[in-house]
Amino acid sequence: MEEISTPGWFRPEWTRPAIIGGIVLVALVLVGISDVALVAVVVGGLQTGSIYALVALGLALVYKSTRVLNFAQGELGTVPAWVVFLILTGGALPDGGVDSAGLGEMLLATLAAVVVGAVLAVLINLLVIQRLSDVRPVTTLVATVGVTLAFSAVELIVFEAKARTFPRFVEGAPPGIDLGIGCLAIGGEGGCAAAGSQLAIGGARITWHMIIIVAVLIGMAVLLAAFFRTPPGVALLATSQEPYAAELYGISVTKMSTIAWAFAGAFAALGGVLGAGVFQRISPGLITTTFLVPAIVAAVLGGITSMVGAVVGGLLLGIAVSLANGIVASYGLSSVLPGPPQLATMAVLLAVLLFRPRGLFGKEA
Amino acid sequence: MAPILSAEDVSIRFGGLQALDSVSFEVNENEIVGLIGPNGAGKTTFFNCLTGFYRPDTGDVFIRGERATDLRPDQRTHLGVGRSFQQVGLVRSFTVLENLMVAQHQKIHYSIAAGMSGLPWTFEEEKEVRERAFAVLDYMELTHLAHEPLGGLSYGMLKQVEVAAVIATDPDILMLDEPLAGLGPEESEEFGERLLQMRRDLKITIVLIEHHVPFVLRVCDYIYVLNFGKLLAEGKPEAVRTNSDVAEAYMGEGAKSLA
Amino acid sequence: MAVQTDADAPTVDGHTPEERDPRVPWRPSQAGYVARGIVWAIIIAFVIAIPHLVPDTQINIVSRAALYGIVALSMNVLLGYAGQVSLGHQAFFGIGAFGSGYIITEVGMGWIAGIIGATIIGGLFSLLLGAIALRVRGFYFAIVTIAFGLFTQEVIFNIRRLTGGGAGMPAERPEFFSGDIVYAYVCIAALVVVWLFDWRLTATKAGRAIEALRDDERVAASWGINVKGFMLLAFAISGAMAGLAGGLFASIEQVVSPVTFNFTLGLLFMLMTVVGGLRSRPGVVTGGIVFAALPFLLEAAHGLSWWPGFIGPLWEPLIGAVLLLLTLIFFPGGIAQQNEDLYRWLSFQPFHSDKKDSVGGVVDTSGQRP
Repeated sequence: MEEISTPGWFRPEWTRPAIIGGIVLVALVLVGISDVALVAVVVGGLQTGSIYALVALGLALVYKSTRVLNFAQGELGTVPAWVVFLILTGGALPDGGVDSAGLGEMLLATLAAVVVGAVLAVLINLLVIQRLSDVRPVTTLVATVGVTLAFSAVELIVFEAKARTFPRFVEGAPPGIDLGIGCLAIGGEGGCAAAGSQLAIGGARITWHMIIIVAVLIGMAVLLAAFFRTPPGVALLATSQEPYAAELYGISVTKMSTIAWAFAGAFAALGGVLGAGVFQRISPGLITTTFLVPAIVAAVLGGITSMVGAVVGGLLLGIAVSLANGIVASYGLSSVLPGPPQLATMAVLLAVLLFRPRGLFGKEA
Repeated sequence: MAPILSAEDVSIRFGGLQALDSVSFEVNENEIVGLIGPNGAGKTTFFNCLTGFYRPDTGDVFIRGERATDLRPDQRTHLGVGRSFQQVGLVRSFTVLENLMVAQHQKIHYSIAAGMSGLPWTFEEEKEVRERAFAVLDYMELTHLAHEPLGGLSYGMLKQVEVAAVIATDPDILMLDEPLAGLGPEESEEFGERLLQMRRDLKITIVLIEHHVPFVLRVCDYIYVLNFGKLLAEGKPEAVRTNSDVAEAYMGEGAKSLA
Repeated sequence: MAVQTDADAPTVDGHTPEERDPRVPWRPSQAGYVARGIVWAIIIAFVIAIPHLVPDTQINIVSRAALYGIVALSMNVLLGYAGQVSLGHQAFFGIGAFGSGYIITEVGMGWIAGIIGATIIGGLFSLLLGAIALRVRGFYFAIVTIAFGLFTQEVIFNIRRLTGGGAGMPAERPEFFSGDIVYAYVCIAALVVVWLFDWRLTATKAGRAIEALRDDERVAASWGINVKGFMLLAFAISGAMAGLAGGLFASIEQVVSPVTFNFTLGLLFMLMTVVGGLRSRPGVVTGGIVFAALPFLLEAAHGLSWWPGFIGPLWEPLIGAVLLLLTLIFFPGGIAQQNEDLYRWLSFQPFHSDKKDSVGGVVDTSGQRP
């Protein structure tokens, strides 16, 4: 197995003080910032975080069942998003894209996309991963990088290197009142006023799309939790822990890995359709370049084999990224310190790997 | 004269398991010392403490009377400790000759930078490294295998190549972890002769872990017996052979003597 | 091996291994020397002629191909020799490019200083990543390299003061190299120097130590190799090579722009090295050159009458990806595996080898056990 160890100079008994110290430090920094609307940051972070979590959920499930870190998880989101796009345009490739679509039409297209995502994932597992001469995690990672490149290359050939608009399930925002919670918390007078007639929490405007994303994440988490209580779900868990013993009980390891990859593909597809909706645009390799690396980091943060961990890790990372954006913007640092999301992602990744390599919910080292 | 290798009250714990409990041990120059004990007695763990792969929780390791407890394995190699591994310790993607060349790492005088820059004297020394590798192969009668990749060699062959590689590091203390594994009775016999010969020719000290008790009784000058991480007995082969504690540990209650 | 034997070469040189003394290194016969000499002369003449053979507008591709060759050697040190996956190698390439641009333009120290600086900065940054690699192993480390690549791309390369932002950082060549053809020779010469350096690396103790610790860290340590030290050395060497290539790259177009060093470039670097064939110098360099030239070859082929018209330069990533998957599934040795006998013959060894090494995994990290 991969070995990670904490640095020699770091003693386990320091973990708790270090975490508490870190939180206090962050809190102090935040108190010093009058312009960072904390609630707005959290609300914004939950939106991207939910998509990280959806993609991470698939990553964790696949890693748990086949010990493969699936780099192609991002493309399993982008390709289905293109499927939705093509269904909505009836196969045409308008330069502008699709500005909006009816809810029913969108739901049907997404259903097709989810099927495509699941089928593609299963095919990757059967045609590439299972055929590799060498199954060490690093080699399988490189193989899935190859799959990613192949998918995005085909997209590039078909759709060319341009962005097109992509619709959301429901455009716009629910009407409503300012709940006003966050305005009391930290500053942000402008935030409340600016929200106007739109539903807002703590100055953060809420769109229908945000609500849908969070709802889908909750729905999928519940679905997965329910699945793990059915006989095939239990078999899947058993296989991931004791593959040889499971085989002795007549459980097919290949079948179980197929189920896991199918779920992962379906989650990625939902993440792709919703993620393209966040940007309201789509371009070749979109999800790989935007959500994949944070999702991998989220999965590592959650402990890579833990489903709960993937969700919590995704949401936490989303908030961290949103916080980094908020701090840099409010300090007016954006010209000095570009790329706060990447900065936050890298920092979280290193912090986890160096100080708690098992992640938040990981059982194995 | 101080012992060439010694350990004082070495203890190490892995989680709930006390793998070694206050083990002391001394090896004098040019001795052949055996370390025996039932499976799981902590023999390899003790080897790892002596060679620097584990750091004991308490206790110390001394090489020629100098405290070596905090030294890394490669630093101990520099002080003349050479060891083999229970699973063959060789570089699998190299040929036999290449393995013996890497093993001479510490014997090479040119600097890393000089080597990479291709300075003339590094070519000369590389030739010497190659010659020394062949000298060791000749001594071990393995010259015919020089250009073989390891993939095609039998387990017994690999074990011998491994010993050759350790010899190539030019050790003063040769530590062998189950050197007879994979060897037949005749080959074991031959290997015993070879050990005695190596001690004479190379003026080295040998410490070995071995399950094959008659072999240890025959070859070694002094024997330590480990059981459940504790030193059960020590002494000359005859004393250990007739020690009833040792016999019981190996063969169950009531046994009076080994072999 | 599917490769057909050159009629005279092996038989003229032929000795069967049994009758040879293993101590005496194998030497070709006189005819063998002459045959190899002729082939080498042709290769060298071809390399020297190349900058004059390509159209003037495409001359920079030659420079780029030579530099990709250096990057491939750099990747090979990490991935092939040390067994550490880097999916963010474009970072060192970019750091070298901006480092040299900064030294030339902002510090005003001249081109040579820029190139030396790029090499050093590349090595130092890589050392930093190496320090992480000592703690974080296997695919976790691969994740770190991906994140590191994105981090440099989005954060470091966008710091206006260091990199000139979107407009880019100028990196002018000195007068002597101002001609594109001359500069192509500079890049080719750099590739030759790095190649020779890499050859001596693997033929001396440092390279052997690095490869030994890739296979088994415990064994390496027991033979007196300082595992951490040599792991860091591998990173420093790899980063320095990539930095050098980046520094030279900066002066091809004489301006460096942040968008060049993206994530996909890092994946391309990994891909060309694996497809080229890890641990084989001619293999990885061939991989680098092929992938540097591929888009332009595809473009050129586009004009040919028999070429299927729909296959254009956009197909380059797809071809690369498919080759990578084929390599991983069917030919772990990549291009080098296909040309093994030829490469051996050219290095003054017999064409045929009776020693078939068992081909291990593409990415060998077996040495890293707990």
